Amino acid sequence: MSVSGNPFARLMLLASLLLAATGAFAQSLSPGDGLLPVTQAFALKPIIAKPGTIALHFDIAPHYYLYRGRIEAKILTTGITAGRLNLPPGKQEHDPFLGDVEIYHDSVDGALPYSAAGAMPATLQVAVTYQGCHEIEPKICYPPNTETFTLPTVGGGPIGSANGGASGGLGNAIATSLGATPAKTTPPPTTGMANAAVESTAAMAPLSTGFAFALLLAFVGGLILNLMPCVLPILAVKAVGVLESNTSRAEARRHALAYGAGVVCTFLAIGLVILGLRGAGHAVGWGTQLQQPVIVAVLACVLFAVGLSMSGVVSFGSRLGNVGASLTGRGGVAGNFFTGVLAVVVASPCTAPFMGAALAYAFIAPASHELAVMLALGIGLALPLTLIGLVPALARLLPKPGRWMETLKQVLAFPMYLSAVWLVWVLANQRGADAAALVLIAMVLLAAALWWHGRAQPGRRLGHAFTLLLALATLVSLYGVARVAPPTRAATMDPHVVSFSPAKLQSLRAAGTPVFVDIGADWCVTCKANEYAVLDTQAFRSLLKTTGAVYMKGDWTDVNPVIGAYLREFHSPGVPLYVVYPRGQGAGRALPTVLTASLVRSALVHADAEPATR
Amino acid sequence: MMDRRTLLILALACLAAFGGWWLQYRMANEMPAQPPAPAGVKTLATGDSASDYALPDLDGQTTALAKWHGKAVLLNFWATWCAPCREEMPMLAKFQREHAGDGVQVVGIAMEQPQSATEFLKQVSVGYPILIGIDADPVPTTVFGDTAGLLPYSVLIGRDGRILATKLGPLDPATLKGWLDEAGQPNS
Repeated sequence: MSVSGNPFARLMLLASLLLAATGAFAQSLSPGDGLLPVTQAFALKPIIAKPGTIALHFDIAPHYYLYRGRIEAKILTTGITAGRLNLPPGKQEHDPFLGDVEIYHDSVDGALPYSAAGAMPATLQVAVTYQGCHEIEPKICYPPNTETFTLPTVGGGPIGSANGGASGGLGNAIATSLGATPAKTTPPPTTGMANAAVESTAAMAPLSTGFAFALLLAFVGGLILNLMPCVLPILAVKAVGVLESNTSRAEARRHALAYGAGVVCTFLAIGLVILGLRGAGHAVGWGTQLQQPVIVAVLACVLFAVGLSMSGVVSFGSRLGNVGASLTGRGGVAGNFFTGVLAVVVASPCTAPFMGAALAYAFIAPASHELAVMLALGIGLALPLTLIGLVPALARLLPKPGRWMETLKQVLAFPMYLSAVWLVWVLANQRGADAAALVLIAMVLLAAALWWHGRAQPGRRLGHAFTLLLALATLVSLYGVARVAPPTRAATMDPHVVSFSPAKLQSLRAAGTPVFVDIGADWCVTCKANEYAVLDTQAFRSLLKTTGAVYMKGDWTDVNPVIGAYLREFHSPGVPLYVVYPRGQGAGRALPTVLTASLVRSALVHADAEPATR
Repeated sequence: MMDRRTLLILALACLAAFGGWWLQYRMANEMPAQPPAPAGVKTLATGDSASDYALPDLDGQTTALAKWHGKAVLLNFWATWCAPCREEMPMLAKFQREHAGDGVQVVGIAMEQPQSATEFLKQVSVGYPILIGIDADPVPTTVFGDTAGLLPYSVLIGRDGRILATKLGPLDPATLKGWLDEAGQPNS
């Protein structure tokens, strides 16, 4: 039996295609859109990793480069003498006017030695000037930019030894950056966004202790992912998969393993894509592929098609009622494998508890560790259903197969349709009514293509040509979605909500106002659940009033480098991110991704109570 | 396993997906983001008069743009550390030579110290006047709408002294031709 004759396998093929497209699309969710503010094109992170040396780490965005000869560092603190700035050799380029110049791509690490004439102060100020350009259209150069940072000097032993643990390493490595030039494009991290500068160097400290823990978190997170509200459609797909494999022992085992392999392979593939993008200097988050309208549209079509086939509305030669029996041999294995792939694709907008921490770790860990975390996530997600297939005792707990299976499958089609509706809604928010209409047209055309494909007699060229035509028309509609320009968003009407901006946050903090920052996205179901349960309630609004806190909301539905940078500061792999800033100058605290009313109340009351010490 | 038809559909879908991504990527890249100007700095927008704007030349003599009143003035912001700027300057010099008779004046604004600008101009003689913008306050690029100070940046000023167009990034012959048409013929 060929894949093309198997409705599930065919749809799963579509899913794998979607995944392939995700890789390509992920490119543009990174800083590639437009020209970046200078501090994002050349993200500078200074840190005193060991006393006596300031380590300067630049993350250079793709297609940008820095001139080696135009990087300078000066120590402003009196009594401290700086040595010569050590920079690695760059790529040699011949410049007709400047002669031979050296440039850096991707990243560069410099070291500035320093020594104190007398006692070492607790902090020191360093000013770093750099200059670079964008090398593809539009070819432009940034003016020399100077950033000033205040770094805590660490006396005695190596960093992190004082507290021993991972948090000690992070806590000691706090680097504060203060605005240097008034015309700065984005305000640099302030005291509140404390561990912003630890990513490159200091974050390596907790890695050795954190690896096993991160694996455990990933595994548990993967298990819980099975139960998250956004994974409802996968549960439907999987339930059907299990029921279908409930034929013979050997068959069930094969199908279970195929499903597990599908899940794990997809996670590994995502891991590799992330590594690739990271290597190219892109910032990648979890679920950010849904920032691309085309991905949302394709996913809506896939879910709709899966729903259609579960409803039995479309068939491909063999009647759907007999699919379970006919899913034998390699076709059935492939079908289960791609069920696993689809499970991960659909799960990708969602972050389960524990998973966030594991992903945050993975996104900065070395390659082998990153892949191991992805593997653990995949095993966690795949385990429950794979176990049922592998262990006969567990399988016996399931009800006997029968006519009810068909009914259940048809019932489960409806969550699929609802998921598709949700995605159309996401798209409507991203790109407006035109895009929503286009994706609905694509869905109708896809249904027509599937319907005609099921009717067409084998061997009839004309019939197949018509199927192809309809499929092509579907793709044209989807392509149309990509062309719809984003609508201008109406300003927030709610007077209780302030829209997110780092500058506004800084000024609110300077005024001693507690701030509740909420970064979400329309495609993030966890965000919506939190809004419904906690944030969009009268209780929360009155809580804001009593604590005097400002509710600041950022929207990551679309690509947004400013919000992307903010998420990175908190090592958040995606949304939601909730951060509470206290009244005083203390650091902002990130809350768990799943909120409860009592948790938010205690965080805000705490933030209100913290005195404004200067 | 997979018949040819399936493969074809898959290939087409991949192609369409990639095409869509590329289009989005291109469109996004064409809109460089400029941050808002710092508070209190008055910036000039398209349609505003720039006649009164003045900067020192290489010898320190303050020169107002009104000096070229009646001509179409092409302000070109550049610096020696900006490779794309240096690459386009010979083309601008040629443009100036060819269209001097059409009442066109190219004016370079160097975002750097006069010494190094002079050093560069000794090697690459452009023939059009150069003003020094580095020490001016507020920053000239900001005043003309390039708040991030990105270079190269060019501004077209009409014969009446009002700003007609701006362009971030290197100029190309097609844009220059369009600007020439936009500025119109000199009043005789």
